[in-house]
Amino acid sequence: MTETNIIQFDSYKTGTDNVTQLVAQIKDETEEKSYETAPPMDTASIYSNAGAVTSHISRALVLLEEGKVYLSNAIAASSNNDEIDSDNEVQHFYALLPELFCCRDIGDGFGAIINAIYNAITNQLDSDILTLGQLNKISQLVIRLQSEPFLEIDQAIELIIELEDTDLNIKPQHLEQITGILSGE
Amino acid sequence: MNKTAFVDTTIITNILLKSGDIHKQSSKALSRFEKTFLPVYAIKEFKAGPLRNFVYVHNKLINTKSYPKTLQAIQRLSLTPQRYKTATALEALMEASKSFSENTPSDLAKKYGQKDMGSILFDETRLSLKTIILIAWKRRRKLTTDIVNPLFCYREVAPTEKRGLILDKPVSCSPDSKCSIKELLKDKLNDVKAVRDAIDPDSTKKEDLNRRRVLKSIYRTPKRELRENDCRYLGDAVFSILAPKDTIILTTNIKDHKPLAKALGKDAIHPVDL
Repeated sequence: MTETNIIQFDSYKTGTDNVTQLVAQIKDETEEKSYETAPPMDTASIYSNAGAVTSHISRALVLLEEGKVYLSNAIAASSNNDEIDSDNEVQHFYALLPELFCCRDIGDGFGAIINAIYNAITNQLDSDILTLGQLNKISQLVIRLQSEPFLEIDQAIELIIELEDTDLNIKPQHLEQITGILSGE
Repeated sequence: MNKTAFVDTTIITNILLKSGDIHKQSSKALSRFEKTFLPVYAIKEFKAGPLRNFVYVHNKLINTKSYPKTLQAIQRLSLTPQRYKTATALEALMEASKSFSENTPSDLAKKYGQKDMGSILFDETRLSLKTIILIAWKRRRKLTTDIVNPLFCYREVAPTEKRGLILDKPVSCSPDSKCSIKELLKDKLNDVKAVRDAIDPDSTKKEDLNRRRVLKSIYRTPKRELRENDCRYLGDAVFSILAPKDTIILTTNIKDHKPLAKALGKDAIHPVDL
């Protein structure tokens, strides 16, 4: 025979009935456990089992971290109006982009962003140094790739649009004539 | 600052697909106007024309994995009757002096399992084309202050990807819908006739012949439905007729636009002339 708890309505209203108290106790215990904080995980450790995901992801993350440092230095120099130092840091960052592009099998989102950044800097090299706004944007993209190396192409496109909006040209020079033909020149 | 520009397909093509001076010229031209109107017809023409060419070449490149074969495909399409242009383009592509493939040491490439430097150039080109196409579509409605003359028969569907290829359909109007261009033009039959009369009657250009025929059909038999091809043949005439009186038609195709605009007391201007 099943035992049923009979709760006096007045007790229920005031929360002094046994069932309400029991529920409150269980709720407290559950919330306490869910709010226990675990130590934050860095992206590299999430993807440490590189063989299972892609053979290049761990190297890409190392390169992105190195790139982030160069960009951070470039931003600091630019903020201090030291154009030479800033551009020098950009040159170091630029030099690691070909190896980053070698890791493009991570995904098209990753490849498209690296390709866009490379073209943007290449197109700028001939005329001018990168502005503070442009450096900040490139740095944001690198940081985003560090946390989301597998981002989808659609997300990558939105980020590349933001890069273009800093007045950078992301189209490769070697395609200029072809794009001219295709656009009906 | 000039007041209002009615923007033609050539301008959005220059901004969305090209780079360098041509891109800058058209972008700067837009900024010279307080208001800029882009009719949806221009977006339709853009998707069915220049953007479609990019999609075709992207897909051809994916399937052939060969630049010469891809460029042969471009030639066959008669995208350029001037073969020297394609030859120059191929040279530029092969040279690709500032590309990743030219700036990646071969030992580094081998370390990452790249078969040859061609595979790097292939992926660069593929990703660049894809990026240009997707960004162009996203930006198409953000170039001007206003989008005007909606086409309810035409669905603007974003390009998608399937098996590595880009799908750009639909580029045509919905066959079940009433033709919006027809609806827009039916109240302007005098303008339709005037524009038709402004096209050189002795011209043997296919484009002119088709345009005259369709315009004649519209004012002679206004109740007759327009077919998809007829809609496309209208081309420049649409801009001349739909542009409000106090606007100036902004286009790089001045040669064809100017006489049509003049027939209606309007004007067309090239970005360099601003």
